[in-house]
Amino acid sequence: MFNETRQELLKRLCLTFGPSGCEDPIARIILDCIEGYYDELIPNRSCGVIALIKGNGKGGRLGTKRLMLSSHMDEVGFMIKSVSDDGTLKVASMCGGDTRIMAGRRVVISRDGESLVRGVFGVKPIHLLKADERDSALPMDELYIDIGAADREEAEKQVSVGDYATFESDFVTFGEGGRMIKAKAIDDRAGNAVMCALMKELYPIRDTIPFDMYFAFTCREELGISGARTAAHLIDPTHALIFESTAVADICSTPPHKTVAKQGDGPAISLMDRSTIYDKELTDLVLSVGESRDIPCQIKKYVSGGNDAGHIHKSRSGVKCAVMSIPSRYIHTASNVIRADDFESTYRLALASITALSE
Amino acid sequence: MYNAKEMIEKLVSVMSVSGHEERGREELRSFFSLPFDEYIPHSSGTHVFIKRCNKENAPRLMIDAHFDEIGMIVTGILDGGFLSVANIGGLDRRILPAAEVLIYGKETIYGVIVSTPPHLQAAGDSKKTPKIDELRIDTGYSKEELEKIVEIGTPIGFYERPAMLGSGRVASRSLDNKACCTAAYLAAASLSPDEMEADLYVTLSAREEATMADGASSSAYAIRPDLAIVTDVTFATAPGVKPEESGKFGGGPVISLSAVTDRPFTDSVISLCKESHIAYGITVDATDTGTNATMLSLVGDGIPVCVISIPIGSMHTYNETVELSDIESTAALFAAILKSKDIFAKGEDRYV
Repeated sequence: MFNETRQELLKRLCLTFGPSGCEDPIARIILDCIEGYYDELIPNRSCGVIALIKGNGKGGRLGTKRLMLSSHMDEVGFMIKSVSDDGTLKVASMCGGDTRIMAGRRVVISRDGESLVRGVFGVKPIHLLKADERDSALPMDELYIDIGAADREEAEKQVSVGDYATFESDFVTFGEGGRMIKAKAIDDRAGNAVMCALMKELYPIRDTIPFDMYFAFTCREELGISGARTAAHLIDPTHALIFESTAVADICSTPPHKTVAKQGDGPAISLMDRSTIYDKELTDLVLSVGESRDIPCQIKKYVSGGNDAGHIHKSRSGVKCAVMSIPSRYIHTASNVIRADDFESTYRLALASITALSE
Repeated sequence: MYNAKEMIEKLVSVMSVSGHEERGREELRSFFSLPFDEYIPHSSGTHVFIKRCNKENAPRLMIDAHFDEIGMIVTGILDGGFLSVANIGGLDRRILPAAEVLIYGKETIYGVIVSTPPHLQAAGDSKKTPKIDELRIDTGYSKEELEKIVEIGTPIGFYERPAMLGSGRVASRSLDNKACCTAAYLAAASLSPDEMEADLYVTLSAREEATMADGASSSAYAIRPDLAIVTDVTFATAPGVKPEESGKFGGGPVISLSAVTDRPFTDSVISLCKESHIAYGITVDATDTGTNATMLSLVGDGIPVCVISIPIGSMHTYNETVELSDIESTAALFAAILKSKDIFAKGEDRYV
């Protein structure tokens, strides 16, 4: 059970270790939070946490019988590949190959999220670089982690090949009136926090909801081999709402057609991305709810990215999907930046959309 | 008195981007008040702390540790609350996208260096480092509100505070050169005046990263020390950094052999290490130590200089790393020098 505010829950989730494949620490927080706000948990081996709130069975608008709500628990991270004689570590990236957002950063390393070892992505000092090296991103194979160990033996007492790593990054509120939030893993812990809050709100009024709601907190979205796919198979939903973060570029002199979405204008509703063409009826319902209830939301104005909907909409005989994405700057870095009001608007729009589906 | 870790935390908390070293004067004075007898602010921005040995006609030893740190300076306040910047000191541009900064305006505010999302990058962009004048800092303010806090010329520093790696290594911004400032403090804190053979002048000097040495050399002109030690950071041995151009983490102070430093003084420091059983390393900086030493050696009619460095990892990033034991053993060497009658007796002229 949780009594903290949505933003406090977001902070706790963001600060917790949970890269793809090592989501258990996040699952534990979520299970603790939603305790008492579901009818049953759906046991499974690899999808993630799936909690069911039963409705009254009458059926909702658009023929809704089983609504799946999905957000992924995992964050971008790394895996330890080898331990060198000098006690430094080599890693494989699970967040793409842009070393500019890795070099110099702090990380935490763990087998299971229980005991954490701090490290730093070390770099050769610029004083020793040739001119062309200064102008080039660090090659991935030169990236190493310093954990303060004097040699291999000392390092191997603390870490092992196959351990996971994530960025270590403070949760910071900043900007005008503290309206911005910066943290690692806002993608997609913000979606997790919205769903936990929805469960707390909806469970007491479940008798008024004419369909069953399956809250799926999924694994391994960032790897593309998503727990949402198997979860959707298990749940067999008629409809799905996906809660995500989407990369936006409403920064500096970016031409308007490339900004994707604007922070402060509410969640971005996608019509289409690289993995899904979203269901028109469900998407229109979400957009019209935003308009009629005066909840900020916007259409995502760029065909980019993808999310768990890519798997869910193709599950079994097909699932009608809509997505609400919190516009995030610098996504997949240690410094995701969102606006607190977009996070709140996403919660409100989700709640109002479920209410509208119930009418 | 504070231990090495405590003093590092205190010194890192004092913003000292080159050209703004005087801002933290009162904090610095309070941190350093105990072991020192006097404080003299120098017009260059250099902070001079004096600990006297209370002996007549005592020789003067200057330990120079530059106090300034690399950073940025605001060059423009842009629509949407973004800042354009220029670098102060040698910024490593390979690590800047999505890095976190503190902007020291009328109040200190937080910012994130803009990182271009992949859909806006052309093929190959992720392999290039941004140019300094292309960097933008996201402050989360509107331009109008930002202009009330920040102006052209406002300094910017990195965000990372000290954190431990294992039990003995610290990662932080600004260890270059606050690790060495800490060693100078610890040396003074460990000595009683009776034990000292010289008056100690610790200069936490200004603007090394920006102009190389003007803060050190002008304050040295005022002090006219008999001997000077320049203490600065050197490269720690690490992947890509050869053992012969670096010092080993945990290997103690690194003593520089160079044509621009004073060899008899340096040799006597090495002898003292051996006598005192202080582990040390040696680097050869044949023609340039990359420190304040060259300029200091030319002050007045010349000052004999020895360069004693502390190895740090990832120099000029926001997560430089240092072994606390190296700071402590460097402080022990400074203390041994101050206690050595021999070193100060050897002050005769070489060329007669």
